[in-house]
Amino acid sequence: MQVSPPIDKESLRAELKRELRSDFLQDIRIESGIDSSGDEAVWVWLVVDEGAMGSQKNKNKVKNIRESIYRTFSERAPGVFPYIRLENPKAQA
Amino acid sequence: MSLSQDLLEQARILERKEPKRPKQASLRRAVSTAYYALFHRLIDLSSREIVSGQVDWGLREAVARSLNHADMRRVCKGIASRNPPSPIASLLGQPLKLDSGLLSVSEAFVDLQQARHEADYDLARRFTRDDVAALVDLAEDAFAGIDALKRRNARQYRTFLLALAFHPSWSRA
Repeated sequence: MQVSPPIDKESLRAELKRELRSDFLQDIRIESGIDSSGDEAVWVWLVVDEGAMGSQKNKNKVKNIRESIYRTFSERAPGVFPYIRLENPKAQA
Repeated sequence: MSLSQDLLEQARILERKEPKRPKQASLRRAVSTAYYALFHRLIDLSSREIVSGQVDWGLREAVARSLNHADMRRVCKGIASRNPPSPIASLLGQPLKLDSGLLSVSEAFVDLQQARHEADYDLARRFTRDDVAALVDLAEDAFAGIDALKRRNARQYRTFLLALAFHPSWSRA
């Protein structure tokens, strides 16, 4: 069985923040855990303003960000799937 | 319209159902429905690839029932990780260059299956409309991705759809 090296969440977060710099994206949060299939996984939380997905421009940005994150993880942490989720600090407060 | 298209449309309706204060029930059902839209789309395409032409509906239906969530996820996760299992990698073509449509549908399937699990079972998780809108978009993009794959790369399109059904037996060979 292939064992993935431990994920350095802070360095990945810093790398993603650098790569994905955007006025739309306030912050990125990374959590690691086990997914519903029992596999090691990470959850990448994109912190955005409430209502951000109301515009096509932002939808396209999220699509590009997704592609970038999937590619980064396939290179940096092969076998560890990044689940990409959006959060609005205000809506969840 | 097909079941999968209807489900995708229903996911969008649920995501937008309450304009001001969306109910968690609506958002959770939207996520679950978006996943099932893609699941049924892939099952439909795969069973049509296996049982083509004008045939007895029951035969195609029987093939469709043989596909399952876990095996489909295994195939999709391998592709999404840019490391498809043997023999899928060689069947997709050498040297291996994965079509962007194939990547997008595989990534979406893995991500949406987990999201459906969270929506249906994780009661501690609170969904927001933005989060759910992005997941419904992901399913929509996957529909477009599989159509684009069919136009651009017939070999990878057929291999993918057959792998969804036959990978468990291929990997035993």
